[in-house]
This record gives sequence, structure tokens and C-alpha cells, in this order.
Amino acid sequence: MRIDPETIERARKGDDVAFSAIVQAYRKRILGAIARIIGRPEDVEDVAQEVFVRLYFSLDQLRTPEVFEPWLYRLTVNAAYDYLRKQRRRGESRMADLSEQQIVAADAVASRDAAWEESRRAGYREQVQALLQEVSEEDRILLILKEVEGLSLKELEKIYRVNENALKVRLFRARQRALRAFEKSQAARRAGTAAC
Amino acid sequence: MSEEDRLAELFRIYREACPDPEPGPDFMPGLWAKVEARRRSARTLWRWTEAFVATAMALTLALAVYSFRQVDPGLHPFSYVEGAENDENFETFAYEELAHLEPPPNQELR
Repeated sequence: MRIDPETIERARKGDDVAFSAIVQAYRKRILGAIARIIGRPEDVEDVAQEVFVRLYFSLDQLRTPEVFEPWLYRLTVNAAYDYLRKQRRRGESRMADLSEQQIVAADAVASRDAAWEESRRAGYREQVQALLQEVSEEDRILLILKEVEGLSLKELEKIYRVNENALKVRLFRARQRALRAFEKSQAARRAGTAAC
Repeated sequence: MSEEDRLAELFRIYREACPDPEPGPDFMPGLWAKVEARRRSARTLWRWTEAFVATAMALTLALAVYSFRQVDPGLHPFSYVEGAENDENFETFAYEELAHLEPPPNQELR
């Protein structure tokens, strides 16, 4: 836990200073998780603010401070889903914009070494994001939470409110689908290299 | 290295390649502005709900008073039983009904 249970308890009772302390402790982590889930840097802060606004108005429903972190992640996942649903309705593409921004960001790096490092990172980011685009929204969020955010099965159980076995099955299937997409992308890459 | 291990490795590298972004300077002021805006809209909604409930209650009361005054006290001054008791023709009517059950005098009984 990044914050002590007393602070959470005070925030639950309406202490705005305690709430600010919670936001400051978790905002970076939540921003990171949202950035990886939605893939649009310009909207990350908006979605993160929405998460904390929801937290502010629903803190009184939190039963115990021990379940705070999974609960915050649940709010994050829900806000990300809502955002993605809205985006889908608008019919906007997400990852295509991101790649362009990454290229621009990489180009902007002054030092040649830093530029090389940034382009290498951008390459990985693009590869994983392209891979995650191949699986469903549900699989993508589950894989990000487990494989990238590093959440444990126990934490995921609390977030998804399903038992461990059901979660393992979901995770296994999501991983299999990602793996198939990965194999496909590797085969395409090999074919591309051979053609050159 | 199996494909599964490579996938796990790729996710690990991705995690490192995507550090958590720093929040902008407007993050906290923006958050509090949103909290305040939602509080305000919740208060407005609550006020509207209160006004609606109060209006509905006042209308119900007014309708109840109006319908109570509309009842004509001369129309039903007593209950059905009281009416039957006071009505002299009531029993006669019942007797006449029974009289119809007797056979006509010119018909022979078998």
C-alpha cells in the first residue's frame, strides 16, 4: 500500500486533505496504467481525473481500507472501458495516432544516443501495442493489468470479482490469443526480412 | 526461448519502455474543479428533486381537498342498509317477487 489506512479512513469521512494525499500517492501509477490501456497520451489526464472524481464520490462505499488498491484499479478499469466505448462510438483510431506521436517525440530528442534509445523503446511500444490491438478490449486490459502492471491473481480477483480459477482460465485464454497474434506478427516480420 | 517466454519478455520490456507519465501542473486544480462541478450539479439535481416532490405533495393535497368538497352531501345521506330500512316499498317489492312464483289460478296441478 502506498498510503496508510488512517489516511484512507480520514478521506472516507470527507477530509479533503487526506483525499489529496491519496491522489498524490497514486496519480502517477494510475496515469501509467491508463496510458497503457487507452493508448492516447492527450486523454490520459482526463481519464485519470475521472477516476479520482469517481473515487471522491464513492469513497464512503469502501468497506475496509485493505481493499482500497484493487478498488481503485477497478475504478480505473471501468473509466478506461467507458472512455474506449465512447471512442468506439466516435469511430476514432487510437494506436495509429500514438505511433505518429511517438515518432515525433523520438525525433525531438536532441542527443543521438537518446534518440536511438527512444526509437528502440518506441519500437517495443509499437510492437506490443500492435499486438494488443489484435486481441479484444477485455483481453487487452486483463493482460496489461497482469503482465505489465504486475498485479497478482489475488488483486485481479478483487478487481474482476471472480474466483481464482475463472480468472486463470480467462488469463490463459487471453494469453493464448495474444500468443497467436505474436506468432503471426513474428511470421510477418520474418517474411518481410526475407523479402528484403 | 519459447514463444511464450518471448511474449513475457516483450511485456517486461514494454513495461520499461512505458514509464508512468508525470502529471501536468494542472492535474490537481483540474481534478478539484471537476469535483466541485459534480458537487454543484448534484446539489442542483437535489434541489430540483426537492422542488418536484414538494410540488407533487402540494398538488396531491389540493386535489384531495377539491375532491372532498365536490362530494354532494345530499346525494348519499345514508348507507344502503339504512336506505332499505327506511324504504317502505322495499319489503313489498320482495313480497311481490315471491308472489310471481305461484302458478296461475286456472292451471291444474298434477
